[in-house]
Amino acid sequence: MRRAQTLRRLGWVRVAVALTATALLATACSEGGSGSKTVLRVVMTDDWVTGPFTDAVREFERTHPGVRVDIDKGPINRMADVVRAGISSGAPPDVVQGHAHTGAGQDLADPVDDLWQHHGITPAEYLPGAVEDVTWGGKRYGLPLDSNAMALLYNRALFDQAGVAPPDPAMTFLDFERMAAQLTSPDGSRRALVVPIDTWVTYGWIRANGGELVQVDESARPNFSLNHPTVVETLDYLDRLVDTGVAFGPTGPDARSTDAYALFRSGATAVYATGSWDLVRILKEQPGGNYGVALMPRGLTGATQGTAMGGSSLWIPRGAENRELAFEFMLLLTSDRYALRLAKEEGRLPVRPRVLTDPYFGEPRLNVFVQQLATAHPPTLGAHHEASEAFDDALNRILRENVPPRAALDEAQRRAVTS
Amino acid sequence: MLGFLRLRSSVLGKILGALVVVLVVSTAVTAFVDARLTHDVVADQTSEVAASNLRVLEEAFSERQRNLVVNLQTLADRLAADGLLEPGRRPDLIARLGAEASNLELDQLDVLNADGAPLLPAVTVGRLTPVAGGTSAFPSERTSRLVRTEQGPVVQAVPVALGSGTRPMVLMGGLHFGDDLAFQLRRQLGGLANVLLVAGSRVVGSTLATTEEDGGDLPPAFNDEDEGRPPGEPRFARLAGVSSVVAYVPVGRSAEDPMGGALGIVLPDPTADFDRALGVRRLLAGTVLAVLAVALGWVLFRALTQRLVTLARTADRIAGGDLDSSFTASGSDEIARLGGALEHMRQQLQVKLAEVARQAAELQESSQRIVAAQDEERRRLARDLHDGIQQQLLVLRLRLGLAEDGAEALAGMEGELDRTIEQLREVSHGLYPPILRDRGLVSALHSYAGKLPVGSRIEVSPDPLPRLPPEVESGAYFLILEAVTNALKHAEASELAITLAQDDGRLVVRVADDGRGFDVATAERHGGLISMEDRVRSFAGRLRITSEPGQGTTVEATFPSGQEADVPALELTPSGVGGRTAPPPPGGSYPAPH
Repeated sequence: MRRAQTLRRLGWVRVAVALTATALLATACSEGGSGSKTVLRVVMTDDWVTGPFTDAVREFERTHPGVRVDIDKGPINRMADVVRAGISSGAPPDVVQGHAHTGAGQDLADPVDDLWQHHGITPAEYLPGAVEDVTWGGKRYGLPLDSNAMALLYNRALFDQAGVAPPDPAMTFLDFERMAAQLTSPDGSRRALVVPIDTWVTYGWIRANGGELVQVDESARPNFSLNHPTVVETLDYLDRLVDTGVAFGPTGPDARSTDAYALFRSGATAVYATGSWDLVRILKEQPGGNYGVALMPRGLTGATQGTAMGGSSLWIPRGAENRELAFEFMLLLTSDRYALRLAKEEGRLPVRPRVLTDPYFGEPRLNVFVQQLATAHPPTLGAHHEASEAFDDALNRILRENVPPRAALDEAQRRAVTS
Repeated sequence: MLGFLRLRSSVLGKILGALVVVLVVSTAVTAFVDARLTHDVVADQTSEVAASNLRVLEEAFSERQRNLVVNLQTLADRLAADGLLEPGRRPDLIARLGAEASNLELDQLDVLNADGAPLLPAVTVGRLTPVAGGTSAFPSERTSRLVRTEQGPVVQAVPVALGSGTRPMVLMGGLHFGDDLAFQLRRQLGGLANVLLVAGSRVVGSTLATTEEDGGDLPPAFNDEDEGRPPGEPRFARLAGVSSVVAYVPVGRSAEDPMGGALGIVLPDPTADFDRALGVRRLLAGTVLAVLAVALGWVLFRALTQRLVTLARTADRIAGGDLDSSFTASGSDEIARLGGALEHMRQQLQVKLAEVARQAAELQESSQRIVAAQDEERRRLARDLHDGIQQQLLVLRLRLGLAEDGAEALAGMEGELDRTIEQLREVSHGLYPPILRDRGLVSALHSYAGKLPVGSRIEVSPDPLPRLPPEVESGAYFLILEAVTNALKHAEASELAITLAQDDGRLVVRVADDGRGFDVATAERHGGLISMEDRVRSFAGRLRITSEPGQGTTVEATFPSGQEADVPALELTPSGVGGRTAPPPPGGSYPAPH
């Protein structure tokens, strides 16, 4: 009897101990529920941190309450340096905007084929040029974000004022040169265009003339052609436009074309070789602006057709801390929804053909850029850091120091090959 | 369910219930006080965190402004040094401004006149309008001010003098004051803070996950009411379903723009999570505490109440008639003493009930004997009337019918009638002496004693004895007659002493003789003795007979005298043993109370 009572009491003690342990465990488990967030570091080019992007960030943070997106921004030509510094310090950013193939070519990017497969993404969804932008050595290194193609944005009022007909789709480089002379004022305060030190713009003229700077085989081995005759001819042509005074030469110290935009915006130039983002921008700043868009001239002979493909992609640096989370953010920002917003609000063309079927892209001026996509090709020289710098130096020497294009480009080719 | 109901109605259940109630109340009070104190402490710390964040924000914003001023002044000097301010070099100036805007990461760069109108075809944007309205001039050089561009966005603009000609020019550089800046500032803050940028009284930039367009809740606006509010004083609001703390610090104010703008931060309200977490944990702890208390209380109090339960069950059995059940309670505490007392009471009750049962049986026997005696008396009376008075009356009637000489016959019948009347008187006297009815017990005894063949002495106390109820007087009278008859008939007594004493509501009658006496213990109880017992018992009185061979006999009877008789149960005691005594409790004496 006493034994039974003792056992019953022990039973109660066991129950009490179990309850206490459960309570302590529950209390312990509920510790540290909040107080810190996973930080996703995103580096964007400086003209990308606008409404659609910040809204995407907000949406991502809303759907991922434990995540904070930190935004860094900088010029696109410094992205590689930012990532390189991050990798060296052991804290690379999680997402970088730019050109994925450039990051891959400089051994900065992490291949994401597994994430493509995991999320059921196929190259067929994208424009071929957009897929090329994220491909290096047969691997995918990011997601295409936007596309574009360089075309000629022109000021109709200045054309009318000069009595010049709008650019003809079939015109050659020489037709353009003649037209440029007509658009240039006698005192030189107004000229046809600006020839900046800008690889992308220069590449557009080279492609229009049928040239190419580098080709990469399947083993990612580059075949540089910086001093190819068509390249030399193109640079001769551009240098001549500056020398004859129908085009402003470069003013800025780097390879960006904001000076060109400023001159076009102020009416100092009548033509501006650029992407659709500047059309949207200038119409945003001057809602009633009388501007038109024309295809790039058909080279020196009229037999070639092409332009530089613009746009960008998102990629993940090597060693990024939040790889899967970064890819989720990339998927959101590259979704059709944001692609359409980026097109309408920022003039960034989508990378998926299905989005281009939206009636918005039927607008005549914007449609020229869309048409131009068919012959556009991305400049892949940026993937080769030394070669790219050599080409920039060549441009600088040609346009600023009046070094003959042949000599400058030979030197650039030598540097590229030996890099 | 039944077990619960049983527990609920038990002492143990009530104790456990009281324990839980006390615990719940004390826990609730403690939790409330604790919650208030904790909430206040956390709120104070939140205010400090908010103020600290705002200081960081303000410093970042000031540094940005300083850099902007330095960069613009440097640019202005270089533009002048490069001769780009000459009228003929406008394209170069424009191109240079475009390039420098990019290099300096400026969102706004223009050359304006003193009134704020562009002197050049707009490089970046059109005319600027101060957010607060009023004049478009920027009189305070090198001081930033929030201005709204023609396209709508607000910029933090700084004017610096450009050149030194007669025509004053201003180089106006600016940075967007919107979402872009808000995200940059938030990156500098780190942590969980969100940043708000206010121009005028409108939020123009924020890092909040929801916006006005999303239908999200807006933070409390920075407005005139904030004038008297210390910078950083937090306000609590619910944004996008999250309890938040919002605090502002004004920036960009000047005499021309008293409203200016403000930098704000939004922090998750830690008190909300804290209160919720504490509440859950307190509830959990309180529940565990209550369960533990009930469990431990069950173990501890059950041992205590178990003995009470046993006593109660024993009481139930006794109430059901099982007088053999005994109360048991171990130990020496109050419950043990209660158990001892109950057990003593049970034993007493058992003895009393046995006594009552025995007396009831005796009373029944006595009643039967009284009825029998009364029947015998009636038969005797009938026999006396039939054999005596009736026969004499029949003889008289016959003699009256046969009488020829009326006078002689009548003379002869007088003597017959006198004897008949005397005989009738004796019968009547034997039934109930008229003197007893008319003059009371003492007179009747004196009358009776006067006819006795032996000497007798009657003592009365008090004297005179007051009249008693008739049934008491007759009971005492006939008992004395019975005792006297016995003394004369069986004891051969020569001297009698009769004593009457009334005291304390009782009448004590004592008849003592000097006869031969007898052994009370061995003597057979004859009819006279039994008759006396029955008579006394019928009054709930007490009879005591004391006798020894050769020592005479004393019969003492106690009757309730009609006033508050507290005569105990009828008791017939043997010789030499006086009075009535109660038996001791089984097993010894009662436990003494402590």
